[in-house]
Amino acid sequence: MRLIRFLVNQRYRKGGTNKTLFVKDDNGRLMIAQIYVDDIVFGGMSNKMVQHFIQQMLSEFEMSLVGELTYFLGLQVKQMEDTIFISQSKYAKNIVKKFGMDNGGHKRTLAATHLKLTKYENGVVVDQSMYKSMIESLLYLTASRPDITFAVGVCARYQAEPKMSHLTQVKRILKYINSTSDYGIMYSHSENSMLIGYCNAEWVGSANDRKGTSGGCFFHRNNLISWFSKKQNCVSLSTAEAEYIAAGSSCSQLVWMKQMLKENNVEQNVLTLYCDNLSAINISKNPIQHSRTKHIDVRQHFIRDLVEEKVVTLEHVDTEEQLANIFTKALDAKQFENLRGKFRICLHEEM
Amino acid sequence: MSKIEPKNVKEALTDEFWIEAMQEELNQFKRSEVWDLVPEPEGMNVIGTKWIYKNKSDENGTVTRNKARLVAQGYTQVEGLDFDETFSPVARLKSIRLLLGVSCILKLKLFQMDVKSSFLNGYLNEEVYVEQPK
Repeated sequence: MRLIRFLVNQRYRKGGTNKTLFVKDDNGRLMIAQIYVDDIVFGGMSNKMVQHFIQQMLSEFEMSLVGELTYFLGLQVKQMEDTIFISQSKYAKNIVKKFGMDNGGHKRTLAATHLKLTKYENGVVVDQSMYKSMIESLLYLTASRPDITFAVGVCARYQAEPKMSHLTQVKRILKYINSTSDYGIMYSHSENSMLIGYCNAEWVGSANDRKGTSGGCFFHRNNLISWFSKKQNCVSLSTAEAEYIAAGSSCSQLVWMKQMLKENNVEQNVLTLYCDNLSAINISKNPIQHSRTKHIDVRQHFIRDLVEEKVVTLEHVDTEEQLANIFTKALDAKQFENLRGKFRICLHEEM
Repeated sequence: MSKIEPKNVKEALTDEFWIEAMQEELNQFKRSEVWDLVPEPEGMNVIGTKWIYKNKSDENGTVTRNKARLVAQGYTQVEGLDFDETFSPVARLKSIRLLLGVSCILKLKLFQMDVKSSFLNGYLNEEVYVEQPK
């Protein structure tokens, strides 16, 4: 693309992991530009640099200057003095309405804690294309709503043959969205410099194939950047093993973030991963093969290398402080709202 | 601004805003010098074209722009004959959130701008024939 060549010629460094990120370092003063197909998001440490960039782009390409970043890829962005609030409230309201749930009532949580869905639910088969389109709409909403990730992920497993009980659960998610549509994530400025992650696993979470669910969330300083909730792709024999697999996936996520931050000119030294399972931590620290762990696939063991090279440190965290719980199981209202608050998923006015 | 999105050219041609939008798109093609009018080649795959009409709206859902785009019906293209590798670099939402977080930390104010016609800035290595738009 002509645009990329132009930026590189202007002494912008192209990202290695994120090939659409361009950073120019002018004696410590940064100018960052992120390209998204035909949209460019940019910012600079001095007003002069920003103005210069705008002039350059306008003279070289046919551009329309939209102005301050407020809306990008469906994300509503509110920039304040030193906070940024991201939400998809308009989108959320739209999908609630689209699926006829705007008068469907409100719910404080996403699912009943005792609920266990399986493939073989009794009850009538429901319209698959509607079910799929509900899931699809909800998945996009997870971009600013990590709190719904687990519940949506579970429902998404039943898209092949959705039954009434599955649909009821999806509707419950929509009812929850209905009462929290204005919620979003708050990012803020802070001086501490930390890249931390929490990882957790639910052993034998899925009643159909006995596979567990991994969950994890990753913070850069105070800000929740990335998270996942995913059914593991192999059966594990113990909780420790399930947790160990989750820790592995989390490590790769942390390493990715470190790389990305480096490309954004933010250096990060130690990565800390919190895990509530001591056995899993021990497996990662102890290179001796145990009879109970010898079957664990080699690819799960790359975490040992990272621990040994001190790229990542694994720390123990009490179950109550385990933030990743929200990505592996249904919680009661009190626990759920507590964790949601810690992620700083809130209303804009609350902060 | 027009609030409706026409389904085809016939509908669009009844609305002055959409006629203007189509004219703007055609001017864009002219300015970028992307095509030459040639007699229909024999034995070549000729790709059809189609008008797509989309309303762009701001964060409040108000229509801000009527955008008409002339697209090639690329599904008739044959790999190796009409094109080789296709690729458009796209950032992930995660990277966008990371950027937002970083800009809080570095206290950057973020702006956005868009390239008026990003597709016209790509290069083609192959010779491609498209039908004249109706």
